Amino acid sequence: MSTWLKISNKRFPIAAGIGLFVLAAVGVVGVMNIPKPIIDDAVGPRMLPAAASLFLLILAMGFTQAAYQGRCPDAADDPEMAPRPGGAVRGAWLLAGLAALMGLLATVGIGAAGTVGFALFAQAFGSRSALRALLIGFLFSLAIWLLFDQALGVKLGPFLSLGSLFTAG
Amino acid sequence: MSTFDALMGGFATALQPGILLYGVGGCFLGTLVGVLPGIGPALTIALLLPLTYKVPAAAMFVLFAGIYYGAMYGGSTTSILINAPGESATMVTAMEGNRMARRGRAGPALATAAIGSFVAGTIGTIALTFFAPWVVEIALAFGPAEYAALSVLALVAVSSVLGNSTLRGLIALAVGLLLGFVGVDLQTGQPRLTFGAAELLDGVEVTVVLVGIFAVGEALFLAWQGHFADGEVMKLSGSVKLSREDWKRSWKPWLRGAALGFPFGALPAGGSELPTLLSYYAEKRLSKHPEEFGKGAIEGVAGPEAANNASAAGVLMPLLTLGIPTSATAAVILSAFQGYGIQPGPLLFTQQSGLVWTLIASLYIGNVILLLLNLPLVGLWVKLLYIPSQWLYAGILVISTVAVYGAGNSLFDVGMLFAFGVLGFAMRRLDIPAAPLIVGMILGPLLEQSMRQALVISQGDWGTFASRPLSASLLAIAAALLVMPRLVSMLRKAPRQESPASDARQ
Repeated sequence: MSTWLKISNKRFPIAAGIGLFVLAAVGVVGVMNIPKPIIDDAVGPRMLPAAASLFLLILAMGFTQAAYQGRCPDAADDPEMAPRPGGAVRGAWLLAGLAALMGLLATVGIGAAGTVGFALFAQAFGSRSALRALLIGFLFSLAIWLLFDQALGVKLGPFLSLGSLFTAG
Repeated sequence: MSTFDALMGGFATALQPGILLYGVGGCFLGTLVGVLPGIGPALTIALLLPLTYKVPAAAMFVLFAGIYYGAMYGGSTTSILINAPGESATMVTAMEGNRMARRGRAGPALATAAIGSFVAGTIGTIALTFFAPWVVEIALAFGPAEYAALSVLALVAVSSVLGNSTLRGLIALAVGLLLGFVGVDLQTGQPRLTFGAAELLDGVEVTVVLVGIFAVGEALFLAWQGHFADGEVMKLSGSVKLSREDWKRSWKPWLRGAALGFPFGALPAGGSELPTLLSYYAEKRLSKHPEEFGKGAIEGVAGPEAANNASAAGVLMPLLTLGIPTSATAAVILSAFQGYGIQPGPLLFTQQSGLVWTLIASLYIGNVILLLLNLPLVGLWVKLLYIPSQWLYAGILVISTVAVYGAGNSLFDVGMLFAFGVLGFAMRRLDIPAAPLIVGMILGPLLEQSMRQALVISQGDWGTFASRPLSASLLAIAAALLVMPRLVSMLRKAPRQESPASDARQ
């Protein structure tokens, strides 16, 4: 089955277990980098972060062992939740949408970023008309800009700032 | 000032047109997000957190209360009409209510859910009104050691009691605790776990984590699955009202549901899944028509829906009186309080009495507004279920990203949002619960603060947590919650393992 992130059986849970190890290790390194305080307290700045990191390390061991023994549920193996074919394409559209928003928000404004992002996300969720998605995306972006920026005062920047594209270079 | 006078003062503020407008808006928005699959009250409130800088506290919390209660009402509409719970707590409604709709009884199912939500929501709010000051009285005697122990109990309860696995719950908790400790340590001024990133000195924003996990992570999961538009929307047949027989079969389940929902919601483990399930099984046992269960029994909708709404009021009790959040939504509301420089807890009732009673009064008003919004306007909400998933999820992703960007105009936050989205996807796929992560992130620093204060008072003696009776009792309960499920499962397995051997001996 060609599906995005489809790693059969135990591989995804084992990969997640390794990810937890890495996270715990990052925590331990972070704790080691906390400067020693001048005054010695019963609970210093390192104590609880160290405890949480070590706790996560132990849990990561337990999780990885359970994953190795096939005792960790993965939605991919559940007949009702398993992904349908075409997941790689859907995932690519969605990641492209996230990348577009990340790249365009600060440069061309919420109007252009939101419109492009919306259209790419819509493709990920099965939209068949890109033009329609772009139009709805533009209207939706305009509506949230008017609501948040103009009505509620949350600063989102200009709706469109296409000028920055030409001045940046 | 008596509780009644304080409540009347709360009503006077909550009924002011400016505040009432926020209440109506909150109820409308809450019902909307409850009906729409993929958005919940925690996510909605998180998306609105940037507004805390612009809107007065009373109006903001009235808005949040409306969203919180409204989502409970709206969730049942989705459950009944498309058998896809808008909220996790409405799973049982999805089971029984959808069967009623399939039998052409969608109207009575929606009516019993809405009226039951109103009855139980009001009973829950009355219980909150009169029990909260009583809990505050007790909580005023709490010292830092008791608070530390209570935080440990809440963390353990949320991680090990809720969800399907203690291990996975504790993993979410440990990740949440680590995230909660990121930023400058308030006592020593030392940066912790920031890895030199100036953006992390103030800590990781709860909004970013919550929106990442609930919005981006959920969207990633759905895109991966590709199960769009699977649910068939049932036709709203008949009028949304109850016959004499329906009333007769509903009113007792409403009351029993409320009686189960409120206390379970108020416990540190919180949550509404357990009381809704208990209510369902209780009604099945008590019903004169047990054969209808599984085929569309009205009691199976009335009881669990009532339990669900009463538990929502219950969850507010530990939040307001003790400052302990026991659900993801409560954790975000706590974060909003902190945004205003207010720390929920027993002192809230004395230092911010006006605010807290306005919030409680708004719950009563909200229940009435929601009943009016949900019964006559149900046709409007049903239309929302026909929004194609591509527009719905694209909209959720754009609004989530824009709201996070708007909070600090920071692309670093947007990057973090997407990183937490990937984490949320993995958690969803591996059935790791999100609530312990959010609660751990908020409660971790509060636990650390209480521990430090307790140890300063005891001059560094760790025995203070065990020598104080209340603190020791709370820690013992936490230990029992952690060990008991495993012990019970081992004891259950033991006889089964022995039986083949004993059979062989015979």
